Amino acid sequence: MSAPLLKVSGLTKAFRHKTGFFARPTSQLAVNSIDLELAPHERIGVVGESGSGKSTLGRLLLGLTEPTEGDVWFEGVNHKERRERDWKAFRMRTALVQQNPLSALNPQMTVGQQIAEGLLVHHVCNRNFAYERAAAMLERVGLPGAMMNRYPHQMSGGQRQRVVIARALILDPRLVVFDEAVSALDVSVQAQVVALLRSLWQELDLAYVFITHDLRIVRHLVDRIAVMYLGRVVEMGDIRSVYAWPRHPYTRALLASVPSLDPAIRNIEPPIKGERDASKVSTGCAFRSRCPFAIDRCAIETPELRHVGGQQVACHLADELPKSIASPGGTLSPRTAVAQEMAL
Amino acid sequence: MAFATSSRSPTRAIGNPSRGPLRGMPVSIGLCCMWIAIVIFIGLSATWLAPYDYTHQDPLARFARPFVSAAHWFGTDYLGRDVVSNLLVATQTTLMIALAGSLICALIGTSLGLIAAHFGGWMDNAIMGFADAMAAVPFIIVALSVLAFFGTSPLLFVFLVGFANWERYARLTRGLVLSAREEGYAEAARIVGVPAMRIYLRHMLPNIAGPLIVQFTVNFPEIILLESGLSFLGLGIQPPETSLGLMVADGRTYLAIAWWLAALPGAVIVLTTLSISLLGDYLRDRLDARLR
Amino acid sequence: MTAFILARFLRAIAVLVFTVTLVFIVLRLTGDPAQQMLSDNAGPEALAAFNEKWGLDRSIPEQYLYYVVNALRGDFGVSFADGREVFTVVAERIPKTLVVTVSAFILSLLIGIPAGILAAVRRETALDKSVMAGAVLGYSVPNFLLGLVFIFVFAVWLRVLPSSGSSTWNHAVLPVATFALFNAAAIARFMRSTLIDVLGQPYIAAARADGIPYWDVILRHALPNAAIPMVTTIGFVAGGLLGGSALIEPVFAWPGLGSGFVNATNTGDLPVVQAMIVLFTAFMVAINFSVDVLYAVLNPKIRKH
Repeated sequence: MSAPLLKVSGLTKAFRHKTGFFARPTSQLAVNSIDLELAPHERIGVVGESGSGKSTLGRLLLGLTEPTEGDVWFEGVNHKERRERDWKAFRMRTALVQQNPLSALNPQMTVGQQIAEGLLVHHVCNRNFAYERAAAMLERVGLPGAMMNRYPHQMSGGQRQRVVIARALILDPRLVVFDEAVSALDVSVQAQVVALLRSLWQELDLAYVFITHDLRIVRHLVDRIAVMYLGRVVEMGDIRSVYAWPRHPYTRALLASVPSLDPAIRNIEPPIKGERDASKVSTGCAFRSRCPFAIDRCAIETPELRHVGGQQVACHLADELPKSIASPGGTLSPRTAVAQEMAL
Repeated sequence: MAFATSSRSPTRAIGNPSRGPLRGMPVSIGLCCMWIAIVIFIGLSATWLAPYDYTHQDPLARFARPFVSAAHWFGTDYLGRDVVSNLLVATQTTLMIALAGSLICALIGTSLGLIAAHFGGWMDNAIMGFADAMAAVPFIIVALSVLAFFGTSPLLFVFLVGFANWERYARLTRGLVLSAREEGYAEAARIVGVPAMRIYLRHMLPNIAGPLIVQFTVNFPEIILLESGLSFLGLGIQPPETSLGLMVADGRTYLAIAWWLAALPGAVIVLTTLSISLLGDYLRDRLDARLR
Repeated sequence: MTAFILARFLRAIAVLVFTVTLVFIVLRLTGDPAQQMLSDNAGPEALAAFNEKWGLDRSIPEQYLYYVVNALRGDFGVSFADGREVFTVVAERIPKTLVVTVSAFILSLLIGIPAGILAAVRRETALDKSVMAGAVLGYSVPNFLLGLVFIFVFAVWLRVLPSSGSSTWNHAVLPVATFALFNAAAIARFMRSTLIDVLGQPYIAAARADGIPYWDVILRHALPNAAIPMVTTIGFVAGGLLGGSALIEPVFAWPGLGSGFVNATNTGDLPVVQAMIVLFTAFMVAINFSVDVLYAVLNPKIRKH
């Protein structure tokens, strides 16, 4: 494998909370010692519930917030060693596609002005040529070049998202972070945008970090997937192998909740119980309070990511949990028995 | 900021509402606009409009009553000066000072608000603490103190007037910038690598201009009142220059025998501030409607 | 709550110290204090006495100490105008201003609050419209101009009230009326908008749905909630009284602090000016402090702490 485009090591971000005037500030780890590598032209999906720290991870990757600990290297350069000028270069080679295309676009500027701005502020080319390139990019993302002079409110949601994508790609970046980029769109529009992103990836030298809570979308869009729970990556690996045999109980629960997936998995996998509670968990596995398989060891020892099968999993029981979750006609596995007990 | 989602640029919508230029505008607001237009016209061309030199004295025609002589429509004052000419020049002076003051005020206030929002931390605390202190003391007291120590000069006076109520712009701008910064478009611009100054001026300012313009319409009449108040007390514009407040102060002595000397400049003050206030209220209501 | 009040109290003291210091700095910056503070015809022995008293022959920190100690004792030197002690000059004006401002303040509360409540409850009626019109006029008409209108109508035309001076109670009528009308307009306007806000809240709808009589809802549910923002507004109005007195008192030749301040400014009577600045600051600080305390007492969110 070639040198990684992006490398993350021990990345941690703590947010301080203050509950009252005299209360001692408590800190919560939004992102907890994450290691990650991304090759050029690779696509990775980061999935998790809201509050799992996936958006914070995205912001850390782009240097929009300072990490509490750990390092991010992009094209071999550590974020911490970047000076003003290096940051400018970095901004030209990375891009972010945000969640809500309406607020992501400036209501007071035309679409063309916003797409061309990147070229202008970095003095890539003169004004006329910048607008020409912006129009070409607009057509590349499937919109007529005449829309250059429109304002965002004169467009539909799907069109706006295409504009945001065009703005992100205008500087020909190597890495694009998508933060819930298609979640706000209608399902039919989502499919079109996903198709667009696939074709763009095939044509351009792009790497994707695709942050989402929607497991249906990443399946068609990424090569690898990282599942996050309370700031930690609990499972990471090739998208096919993770979907075929999810090893972590949390991943299994997530996949089970996706309606369109294998009906054999659905309904039988034990539902995760209780509420997510970050504050009480200090040692051990963060997921244990909700895990139907939890054993004593989970409370004592924090599971590290280790290779199990085709992927990495942070679970003590990863290789003990069988792949097959009882098929409709099969015998009741011990876990389904537990599940039924819990349901009672 | 809700402005980001408004269907149209608020600033443009003011002059040119989407459904016909003047439709739905009450007659009273039309009259206000008319008066404001007249006053602006006077402000631009008072010296050409004035039938006499405003300082020209005619001892034989003192205290001529208004509305009787074609030579002096609004009569003459205690020195036989033409009231129309004086009124035109005084309106011009007051308007210029109020305009300069309002612009200085808007500039100081928005800049400090922006600085507070941009730097945060102790800078934010210092600026906002100063703003709180300013807001707690009636500005006329501050102005009198400054004038007592430094004496009156036209330049100092304009800047002093421009210093009134800057804290309102500062608070408003700070709040608007802080919330605009959370908007996706600001972050997007930051990620593209747009310099901070350009984000503030090119991206944010058009989006937060609406409330700032409304603030201007609130502030402008107050500055006119402050100018006339200080001139009335003899601490603002000094003779031989004239201003509306100074004319009222002059006329006050002759209230019993020549009511028009105080009443006419007083009426100009009231009509002007009233027109701008009503127009400002109207604009604010229209902007609020867009926010809903 | 004690912590909150204590913090506010300390802040009030800090503001006062800041102002006194600022006056000291400005005085030292604008020139030789002895020449500034003494009238031009003061002899050399007067100069020497002055320097001795204010410690002007000593270092700047010691000078500052002298200054603060004298200021705390209320000793600001001698007025240029008549050579009397500044303290006496200022002190004899205080009751005159208090008479006008306090009675005008009470009057404006008595008019403004009921008018605002009625306007909010009876929206779109003639009363509501006249309150709103009065409020708009209130911030468009300069207060000194309204004073002149009153003088013209009641003193020049009707000849029922004196136009200037302070020798009888009748003399106070016009200044008080001018003051009260302006403040009542502002108070009525804020009262109206605050109450309309509160009346739009869900808990008011809930109370009405429970069948509580209308005026009960207004008096027991709406008004206590409207009181909290009103305290701030009323405090603001009270703080504005001094600013108003600087403009209204000269119109009626009312010999209070306001016209005294304007006179001292016009004649460059710096000893009087600085004494008044300190006095006004103390007044403003006291008003703001009372508003804070009242706010804390009224607001359960702070009271509980």
